[in-house]
Amino acid sequence: MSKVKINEERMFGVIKTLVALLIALGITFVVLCLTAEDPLSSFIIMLTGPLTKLRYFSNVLETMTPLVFTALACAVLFRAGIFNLGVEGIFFICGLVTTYVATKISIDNNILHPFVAIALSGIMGGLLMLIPGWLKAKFDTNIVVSTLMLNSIYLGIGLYILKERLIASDISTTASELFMESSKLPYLFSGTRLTVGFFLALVAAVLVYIMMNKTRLGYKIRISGQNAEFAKYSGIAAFSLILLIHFISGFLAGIGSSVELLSFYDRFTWTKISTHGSTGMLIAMMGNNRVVPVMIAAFGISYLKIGAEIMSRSTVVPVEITSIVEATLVLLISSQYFLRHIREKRLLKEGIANG
Amino acid sequence: MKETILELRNITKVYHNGVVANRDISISFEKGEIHSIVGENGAGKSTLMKIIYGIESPSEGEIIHKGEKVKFRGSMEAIHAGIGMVHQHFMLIPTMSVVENIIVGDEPSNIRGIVDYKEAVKRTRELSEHYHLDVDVLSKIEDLSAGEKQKVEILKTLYRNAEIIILDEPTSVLTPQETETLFEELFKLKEMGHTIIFISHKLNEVKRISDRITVIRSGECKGTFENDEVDLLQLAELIVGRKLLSSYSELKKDVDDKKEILRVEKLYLSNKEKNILENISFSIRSGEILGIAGVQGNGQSELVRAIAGIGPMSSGEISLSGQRIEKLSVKKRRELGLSYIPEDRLGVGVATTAPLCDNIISSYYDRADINGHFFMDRRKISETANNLISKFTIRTNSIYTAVGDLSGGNMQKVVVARESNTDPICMLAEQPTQGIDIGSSEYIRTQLIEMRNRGAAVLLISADLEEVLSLSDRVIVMYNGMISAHLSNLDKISTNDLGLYMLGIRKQTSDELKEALYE
Ligand SMILES: Nc1ncnc2c1ncn2[C@@H]1O[C@H](COP(=O)(O)OP(=O)(O)OP(=O)(O)O)[C@@H](O)[C@H]1O
Ligand SMILES: [Mg+2]
Repeated sequence: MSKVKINEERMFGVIKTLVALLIALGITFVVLCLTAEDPLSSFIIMLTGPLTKLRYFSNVLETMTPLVFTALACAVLFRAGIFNLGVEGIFFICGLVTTYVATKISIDNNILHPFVAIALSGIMGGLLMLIPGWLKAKFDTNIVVSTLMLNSIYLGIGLYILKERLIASDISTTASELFMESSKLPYLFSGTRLTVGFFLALVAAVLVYIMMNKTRLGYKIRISGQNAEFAKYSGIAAFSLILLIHFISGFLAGIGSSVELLSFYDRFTWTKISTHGSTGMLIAMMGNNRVVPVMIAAFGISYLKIGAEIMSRSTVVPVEITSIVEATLVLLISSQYFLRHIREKRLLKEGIANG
Repeated sequence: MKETILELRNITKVYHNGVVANRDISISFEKGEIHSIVGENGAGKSTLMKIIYGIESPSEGEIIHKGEKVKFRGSMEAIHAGIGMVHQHFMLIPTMSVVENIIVGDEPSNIRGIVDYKEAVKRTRELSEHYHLDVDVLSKIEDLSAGEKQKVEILKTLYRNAEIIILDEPTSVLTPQETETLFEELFKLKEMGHTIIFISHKLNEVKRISDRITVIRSGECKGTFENDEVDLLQLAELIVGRKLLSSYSELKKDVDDKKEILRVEKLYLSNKEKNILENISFSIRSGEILGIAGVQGNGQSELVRAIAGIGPMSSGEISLSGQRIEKLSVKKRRELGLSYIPEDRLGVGVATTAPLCDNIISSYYDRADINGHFFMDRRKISETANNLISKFTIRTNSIYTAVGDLSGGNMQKVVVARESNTDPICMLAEQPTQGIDIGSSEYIRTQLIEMRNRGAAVLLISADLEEVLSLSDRVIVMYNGMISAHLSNLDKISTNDLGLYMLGIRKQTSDELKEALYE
């Protein structure tokens, strides 16, 4: 494969994703035709809405912020060939770490306070992700199964902690006490709700990019993801590598959770696993686990979400219409994965046939 | 005058990445001939065969089959026209029986459309008898030897009524005896009127069985010759375009300070039933090549894998320059100077989807010369890769080409280049020249000898007896997981004697075997 072909292949990937997107939009339009009174204008509102006001566009970047973290958390692991589904569980439970710091520990400094919350959340996320990582490295357990189970466990434990330790006394719903003002992340600009969290997401993306493409760690991740036997033969120790990337992934997920809460919430209100993790996974897949396309995909998905929200405000169409787009994209892209898998198998076979 | 069955006219093939694999090639194949295609790695042999077999389509030119112009749009159409192909690596399903593998895709069925297994067995048996390709049709593929698998592959094509059978490097995985059997069978097929297209890098095989030989160099046809028109040397020169070494012994230099480098003592590997490796002891000194001869599957692979640290062992000691290494990680062993060219290059030796530049540094990716303080040094890496590409004449478009897109021989060169680039003090070379053309084989062998001359210890495992005998200073023979002979005076050994040890008919006494340890 020459450089030419790599580009060609990239183009191919971009085209496939665009086609998937077009199909998804097409299906959405059909659904709109069946439900909305004025499908065409609803559709146009959905597609252009986010560009009509600065606030709307800011909403897109706000939605994107936690998704960048979860998508990167997934991409790091997927790139190494580890299909870990645990990001959403980590995202949930780390929210409680943040909540604890934001409600129980008073630090009278509005830089230090969120910093402590984010850092602890990230470290906790990293440590918790080590559990499935260790099980995989040590016993080669099926990571899909172990992480799915852990997600349920984290949800249970999280809810227990929420109800027993952090529950609000001033309201009747299941939620934590109000976060202290000093813990919240400062806004980036006046007039929007975009916070420093968005900036952190960009920094995280740059760091992950550098890690994946410039460092020895990234090299090891890429090689292991492409042929584990080859990595072993080359002297790349799987054990420490698996642990390390699990920590990094959990760390990113934990930070993402913390950033989300301290940017856009007044109290912890999740009583079930949020969709941040699964959407992040979708985005990682769309971007083929590479940082730049992942960022583009994160932006695209967020854009659609906000577009649908704007549309639902001005029409009778419910915001859930985005789930149609998302579901279609998941289907198309995972089948794309499937196709690629077949293609790679074929390539391998050809390689063999080639002698 | 014989009748022409297949004719290629001005075939040119340009791959999507711009590689011109075939350039204006015209060959005609006659009915009932064995026609060999020879050429260096990446010359375009497999590509040409794939074009005949309909897997690749030619960019230009035409194919005339039995007087008619044809254009196969896939192997199904080629099979339908009576063309069969046996790929270099087996395309059989290991867990299924011979019958199932042969009939798959073309099963005899009864009226209700259900596979008629009895009929299938009957037909397969008849086929194997008719063509004298003896194999137990009910046994599972995984229980067969390489030679038997080869028979199954040929039967598969015959079952589909192939008149033209393409064999892409069929002998590279066979033992000399199996190769001989295969040749007998090919002669019989030829007598029955089949046309055989045969590809091999081993020129004595080509000379032995061909009626005619076509030479391809860099995608161009250098001519078709009657077998008796050219002798071995001429053929070799036609292929590489220069003269080749006739003997390696002149290259060897004496190394003064002979220290013990690799020492293996009482190595065992057992599973529940038996010992896969039993009491293996030997030692290699600096400036020495120790060859391991033996029929493949007698424990050689397991032995090297254990020494390299990627395979298990049950007990025993392994030392490298006096330091015990059997408990050390692969990384540590490599840091102590161990290098390894593995037999299974696709599964272990490379990552096919990764670019060449990533593949060619994998065993020393963290070495100071290609790393900056924090980051890997891209520029130095490309420099290293480009140096190795020109030093080992690897044919590739660029350093970003995925290794899986290289021809088989060039993949092997990537492995050898990488493993030599660490200045190893001990090289484990397992089938280092398998599937490699004569010119490159010569280069790789010279490299091994140079390593030896620099004072490294080389362990050479090869199915190619000639290679073992011409390169090694001493030889051990393995049979059934044990060392059956240690031979230090190679001039006095006949291949016949060696054969007796290899087949387990003769075995040295334990006193004689102690010499393997210099004791
Ligand atoms: N699928 C492919 N895509 C792009 N280039 C290819 C492909 N297959 C082969 N090539 C290139 O075409 C050239 C000829 O390859 P081919 O496999 O025909 O060589 P070969 O003569 O069979 O070599 P070997 O003896 O090593 O098997 C090589 O340079 C190879 O890199
Ligand atoms: Mg070939």
